[in-house]
This record gives sequence, structure tokens and C-alpha cells, in this order.
Amino acid sequence: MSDVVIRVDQVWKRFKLYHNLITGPIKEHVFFWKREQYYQEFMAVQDVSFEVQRGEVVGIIGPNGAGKTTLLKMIAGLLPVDRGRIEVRGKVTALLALGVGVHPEFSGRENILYGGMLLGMSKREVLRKTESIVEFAELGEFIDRPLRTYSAGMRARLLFSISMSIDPDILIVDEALATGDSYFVGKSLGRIHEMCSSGATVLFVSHNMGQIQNLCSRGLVLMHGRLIHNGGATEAVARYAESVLSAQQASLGQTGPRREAGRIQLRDAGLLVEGRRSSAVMIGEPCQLFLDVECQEPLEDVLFFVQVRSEKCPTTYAVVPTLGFVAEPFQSLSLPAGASRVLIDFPQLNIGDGGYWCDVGFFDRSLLWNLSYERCYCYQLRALSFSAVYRDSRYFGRGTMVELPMTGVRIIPGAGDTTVEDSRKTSARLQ
Amino acid sequence: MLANSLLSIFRHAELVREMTLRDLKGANQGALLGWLWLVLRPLVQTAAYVLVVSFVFRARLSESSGPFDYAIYVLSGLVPYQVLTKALEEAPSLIRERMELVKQVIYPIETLPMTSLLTGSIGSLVALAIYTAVSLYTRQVTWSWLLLPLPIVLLALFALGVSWVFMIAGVVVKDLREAVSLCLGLTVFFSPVVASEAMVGPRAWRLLQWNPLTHVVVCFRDVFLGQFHPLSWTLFACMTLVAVVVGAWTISKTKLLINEYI
Repeated sequence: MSDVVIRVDQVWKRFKLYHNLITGPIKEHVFFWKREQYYQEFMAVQDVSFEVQRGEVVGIIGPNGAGKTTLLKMIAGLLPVDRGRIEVRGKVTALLALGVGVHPEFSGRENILYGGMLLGMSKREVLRKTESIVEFAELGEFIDRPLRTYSAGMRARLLFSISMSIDPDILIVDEALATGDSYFVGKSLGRIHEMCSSGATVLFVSHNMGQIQNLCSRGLVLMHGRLIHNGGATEAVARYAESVLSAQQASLGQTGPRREAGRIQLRDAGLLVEGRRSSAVMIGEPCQLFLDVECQEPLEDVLFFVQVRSEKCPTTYAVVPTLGFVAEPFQSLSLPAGASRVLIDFPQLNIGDGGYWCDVGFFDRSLLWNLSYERCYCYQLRALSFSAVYRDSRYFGRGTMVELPMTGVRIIPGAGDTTVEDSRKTSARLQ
Repeated sequence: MLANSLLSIFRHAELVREMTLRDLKGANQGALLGWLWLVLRPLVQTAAYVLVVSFVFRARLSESSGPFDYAIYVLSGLVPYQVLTKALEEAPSLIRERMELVKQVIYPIETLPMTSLLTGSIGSLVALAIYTAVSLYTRQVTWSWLLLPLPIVLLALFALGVSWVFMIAGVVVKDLREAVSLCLGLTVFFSPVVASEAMVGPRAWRLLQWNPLTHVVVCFRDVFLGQFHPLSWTLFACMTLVAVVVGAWTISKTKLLINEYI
């Protein structure tokens, strides 16, 4: 017998959007012989089939409104299936929202009891786990105070801790891991890791591509209710990034705060891996960045910058050192009139794993030390986006920032000894 | 299928118990007297009622009856009547008020009326205690009291069945809550809670029989006062059966579907 715990077989889900929410459903059933339509149809999930084996961790990604939550709810048994079949073997625990059924006047401890029971645990089970939940939440004495006195972050901590205490057969997580301080998110991720490795089957929806790559062995991509990818998590992320990219390109030029003097137009931007356009690049391997521009007239002394921003921390960025602070500025470009392509070669891409986007700008050399975005020839936010992945899947989920280049490792015996004698030597030297 | 909805309540007995406690606790959490209010309110209300009726208005069932007789008569009807009306009034908004619960958690919604029934009957339990005390004082406790579980079970089943239907209907039609509470408010005048056959005469009494809630009250009174009205018992049993069958059918058909409407 194969060990399939979830089988989704050609499932369709149609929502009826009634013109009138109250009379619509009544009229539909009372006047069932009439042909009149009392609703618009909205296909949330269309012809989706997949199987999940026991112990698998499957990530589901897709843009908002792609049908991810609907699919999860159908698997959890919270929504009926219109067409097709869903078979689930085992007890499903769904974390679709945090803080269901909490009461502001109850203490943290009381809320643990009711919150836990609403997640499907028995009273004994919750009581047995209460201490570990309290410990996990690290709320100190606040645990016995009413929930209304908590700050938003503390509240999130408590609710997380309750959710994280379950030992499910099948766990369904819907973007629940987005809040909380980063220390706590890390802790929760660790717990999910633990659940995954303990043999639980996990279905995981997230917009955080890093999380998907870290946790999941397989990825499903949903687009407009259809399953467009069912395979490796990394490929899924790449596939998703690609489709988002193409959607972005379609709207390139119309959206975003594009403050340009108008003398250069950025037509397209992207990454090339082995000469082919790609939105997923392998860490540590060569790639090229291209910027397709169009000038109305020939321009001399043009400089440009590329700010590579990580989804992990969008406020800081890496620069491509044409506008470097360490290295001398790159030689300036001369752009001909009409279309041309600026091609930048990277011998090795040493950035960490995860999703990135780049802001690109072109400007005159004279602006170099007093650059303002308004005076640029062209400044494009999110000109391109890509995700960086490790070729070897064993390295997924390291959460790296950058791989620092180094020239070697040496061992100097006896040096760096911090005994008394050594410190005396140091102080002697200081004198 | 029909039995499933009922059995589900037993299967989730612990959840029902804890959710009842939660609702009771939640209502008065943070108040100085806390739990005491649950008892205090019905205690004072009922005691005041008994004293006013018996000693201020000096209402009597008949010429020869004692001072407490009319109070006992009213209380014996009021207790089941209050339990029932409270449950039915709550029913239409049960799901609406717990929307996030129903939408986000795998929650057995068929247990919601049971929780509401238990929460709502705490006050009546106190009233029942007062009633028992007064009956003991006037030595009116009969052996028929041993049959009390029978009408209680019937009442619970009846309330459950109707609540299931109201609960589902209330999701689609929001007006139901107001309509139900209005109708129930009116029925108090058309029920034998405050009226007795001797007071209103046989014609009006026959009219009262058309109110389904009359039979519930009469059956409870039979047990309390050691009488027997076979018609009311038959009707009460039939009503209960119909309510449970229709309610269980409704809930099992729409349990999943209802998630789309909220």
C-alpha cells in the first residue's frame, strides 16, 4: 500500500457571488426552475490534482487570490468540494488564522486552554503541554495577566506558542508565520522544522520564498486557481518568480514611482544564466545582468547603479560596484541613440539564498557625489527580481546573507593566548 | 446521518463543557464579584418575584389556596419556558457571532446550540433551586419529581433541533434573530406560564393549546405538581421528534455549505 495521506483528485471549486447576498441564495432554491442567474461564478480552484505522501512537507505558493487558502480549507474539510474528490487519511490540524477564540479578559494561561482545545486538542493534552507552551512563549509573569494588557507582539507570541504545541498527523499552515519579532519567528520555524522531521505531513502556504525553500521538499504553484507546477521546491520558487516577473514586465513602465528625466528609458532588465534568461540563479556560479535601455540621443559619461535588495531585509542593499563605496567608480558609459543593452558579468554570485529584487538607475557622472533620484536619467524600482538558490539541496535553509570571499586559513600556534603572562606582555607593549 | 449530529455532541462533550465554562466565565471576567453574578441575578429576581406575587399582590390560584401556591404555579412554568426561549433567541446568531471559529477552525458547529443551551440555563437552575426550596417549605414535593429527567431530555432535544434550523437560517437571513425574539416575547401572553385554566376560562385555555410552547410548560408542570395531561405529552414528544429530525437533517446537509455564506 502506498503511503498517500492526502489525495486531491481533479478538484474544482466554484464560488457563487450572489448579486444580493440575502435574497440570492433563497431565490435560487425557491425558483429552481427559472433560468435566471442570481449570482456570478468565480472559479477559485480549477482541476487541481496532486498527492502527498506521509511525512512530506509541501509548500504551496501563488499570488493573492490564486486559490491557495480555498484549497487548504477544502483539504481541512472547512469547505465543500464542487467537483472531484479529496481523500485525507489522518487527523488534520489547520492553522489558518492566529488567535481564534481568544478572550481579552482571560489570562494567558486560560487562553492557552481554550485556544488549544479549539485547535482540536483534548483538555488533558493541553494541560499537559501548558508548561511547555508558557516556556516557549517567554512571557514571564505576563502569562497570568489578562490578554488585553499584552502588546501586539506578546499577543502574537502567545498565540504562536499555542499553535506550535500541537503534534499533528497532518498540519496545514496558512501564512501564519508572518508576524512576531524575528527572534520568535526563527523559534517558530525551528519548531516547524521539528514537526516536519518528526514525520508529520505538512502543507504550507507562504509568500516567503525563503521559508518555502527552507522547509519544503516539494512545491506547488497555483495561478488563477490552476496548478501550474508540482515538483521540487526550488523549481517551484523559480517558476513562481518567473510568472510574477512576466506580470511585472507587462506593467513595467506604468507602475512604480518612476522619476526620470526621461532621457533614458529602461525597457527591460533581467538575469542571464548560461546565456538564457532566468529568474533563479545558482549561488556561487556565474551569471549576467542585462539592462535594455533606449536613449533619445547619444549620451556620454553615464553611470548607473544596481541596488540588490533582499526580501529578508529590504532596507539594506548590496550595490553592484559601479557606484561603489569601496572600489573606485567604474568607467562611465557612452550610450548610443536608440536601443542598446548594458551587460554586466558576475564571475560568481556569492549572495545568500532567498528572493531579491533590484532597483536600477542611470545618471550623469556630474551627479556622482550629490546624487538624487529625481535628477537621474532613469530610476526604476524593482526593475527585476530573482531568487538565489543553492545547487545542492542539502544547503537549503541556511539563511545566508553573503558568502565572504577569503584567500586562505592559517594556524599560528601560541598566538592569541589570553593568559596572564600574555596580557602582561600586551600591557608592557602598550607602555 | 441523523444520529450523527446528536452523537457528535456526546463525542465533543468535553469541548461543550469547556466552551460553556468559557462563555460563563467570559461574561463576568474582570468583575469584582465574578462568578457570583451568575447566581445573584436569578436569585434576586426570582426571590423578588415570589415575594411580590405572594405577599404584595396576594395573587391566589383559587379561594382556598395558600400564599405560595400561585408563585409555585408560575415558577414551575417559568423555569422550562425561560430555558427554551433563551436557547431559541440565541440560536439565529450562534454562527454569526462565532464566525471566525467556524471559518478558521475545524469546529463541530452542531455542538453550538448545546453550549448555548447550557450557558443559558444556569439562571434557570438557580430559579429551580428556589422553586424546590419553596415547594419543600410548603410540602408540595411529590413522587412525580423523579420523572423530571424525562421532560428535561425532551426539552433539550427540542431546543437543539429547532436551534439547528434557526442557526443555519440565521446565517442567511439576519432578520431571524429579531423576528424570533419578537415572537417569543409575544408568546408569553399566550402561554400558561402566568395564566391558569381557572383564571382564563376553558375557551381561552383551548386557544392557548395552539401555542406549541404551552405543551412544554404543561408537561413540566405535570411532573412538578403530580398531574397528567396525555395530549400535551404526546404533542411534546411529537414536536421533539420532528424538531430533532428536521434539525439534524438541516445541519448535516448544510454544515459545510454554510461556510461559503459567511
